[in-house]
Amino acid sequence: MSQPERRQELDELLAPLSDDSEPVPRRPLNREQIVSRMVEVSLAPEPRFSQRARMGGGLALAATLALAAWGGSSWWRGHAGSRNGIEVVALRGQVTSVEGPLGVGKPVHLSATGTLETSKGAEARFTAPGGLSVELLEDTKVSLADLGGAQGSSALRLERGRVRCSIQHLPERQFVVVTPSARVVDVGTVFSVSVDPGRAGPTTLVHVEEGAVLVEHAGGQARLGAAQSWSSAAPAPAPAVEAAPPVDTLPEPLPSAHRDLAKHRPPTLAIETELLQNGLRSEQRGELQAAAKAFETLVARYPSSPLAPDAKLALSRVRSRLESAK
Amino acid sequence: VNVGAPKSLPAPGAEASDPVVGEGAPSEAQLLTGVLAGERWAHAVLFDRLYPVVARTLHKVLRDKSGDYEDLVQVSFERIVRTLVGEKRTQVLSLSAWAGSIAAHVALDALRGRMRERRFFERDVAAAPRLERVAGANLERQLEARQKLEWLQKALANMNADQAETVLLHDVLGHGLNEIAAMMGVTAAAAQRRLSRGHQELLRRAAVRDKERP
Repeated sequence: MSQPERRQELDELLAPLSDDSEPVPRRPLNREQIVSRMVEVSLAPEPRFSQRARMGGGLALAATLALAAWGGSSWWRGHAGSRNGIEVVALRGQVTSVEGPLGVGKPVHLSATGTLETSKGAEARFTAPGGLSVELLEDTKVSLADLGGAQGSSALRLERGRVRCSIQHLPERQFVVVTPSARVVDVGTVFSVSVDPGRAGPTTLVHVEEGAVLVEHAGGQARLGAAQSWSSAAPAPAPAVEAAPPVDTLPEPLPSAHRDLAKHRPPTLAIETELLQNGLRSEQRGELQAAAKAFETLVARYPSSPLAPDAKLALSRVRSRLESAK
Repeated sequence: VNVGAPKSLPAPGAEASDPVVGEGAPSEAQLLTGVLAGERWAHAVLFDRLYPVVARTLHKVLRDKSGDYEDLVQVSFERIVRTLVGEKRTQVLSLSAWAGSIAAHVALDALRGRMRERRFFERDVAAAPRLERVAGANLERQLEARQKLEWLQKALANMNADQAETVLLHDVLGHGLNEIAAMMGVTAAAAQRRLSRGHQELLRRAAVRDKERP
């Protein structure tokens, strides 16, 4: 077949799609819905979960459940058959449940199973029966598998990141946040719990805004009241305070327009936590100057941090020790 | 290559409330900046600007009135935005042409999906009224036109995906090889090879069809 004959045959084969004589029909279209979806995609550009990814999510869920079982926790097992759903809303960024990504600003009802995860720069909030409200800050992953209904005891497993919990305390009900190194039992309060992966293993930090919590950890128990914090940071092989980022490279707190959640959720929490932990470790090692520097940096740079009151107390204590040593 | 908006299809929803539509409309650079910042106005303008070419491309490839049309439009725009805010956005040379290529990709995916779901012939039934208008009163010609369209769509859906897309972009939508190479992220030589092999494959399938004809 010659080249012109070949071209002619191709043109004939492709003619049904090349015909431009027919006008494109007008069809009904929900423009606003499509534009909304475009905005969501641009804020969270990762593709929707593929079938394979869904299977992976299922495996992750199985692993999470296996982990919970391995932990041998005795709390809240008897209510599995009566679990209620939760209402989740993605406040910004990419938020994923086992059912896939959630649309920003669209509340969805989910069964209290599997995990809920926020990516970098994302935030979400869920509410559960019984007046429990939990905010997930960025880069946070929680397991909902042990979250019960309004009755009995329920638990939220924090695998990484930070949550801020608000719950009305009822004597017949117990709510617990479980981290790799502690159980934080609410006693009617507003409190936050964070898990920092860290180089030497995960570190749990608890801060109470209102009311009180009971922190159960390997070394015993600690009861925290309003404005008090607790950290599981080990004293020995920790990095020195010099490892903390220099003051002039620390990120600025977000402008007020971006503070769309409560006041007490600094986007720089990881840095603030590291500063406080470094200060405490330095203090325990007797490196008082380094400890003071870490606390001063935290207080000066992040005055509205939920950790600032603790840093001020620690700074006062360290300065007293420095004065005594002179 | 002009793949711009056909005059027969005005943009569907340019609202008076959009402050940037009409005079003083934003440039492509401003639009991209707005999209990257997650601004709703930018997405609305982007939709209005690109919808005609997306609609035209979907119509050219699919040629039916399927119920999933709105879904396909949405998927096209999701891919457009995802690519714009992703790492490959520097490859976008002409928004309109590039949006058409994405819509063509979505349309090909839809054709393959229909094959998988064995719904192809049901869709053709829905397409019949359109063909009646195109082909006029001659029933035999109508039937032949339907068969040709059906055969071509099946062939493209079953071909190597890159080759089918290259044939579609070049022969149906009228893009040049350099443009196709930029859109698909390959060299012009690779685009040329895909086109040549796509042509060979189409001709081979046509030969097989002709042999099987009674």
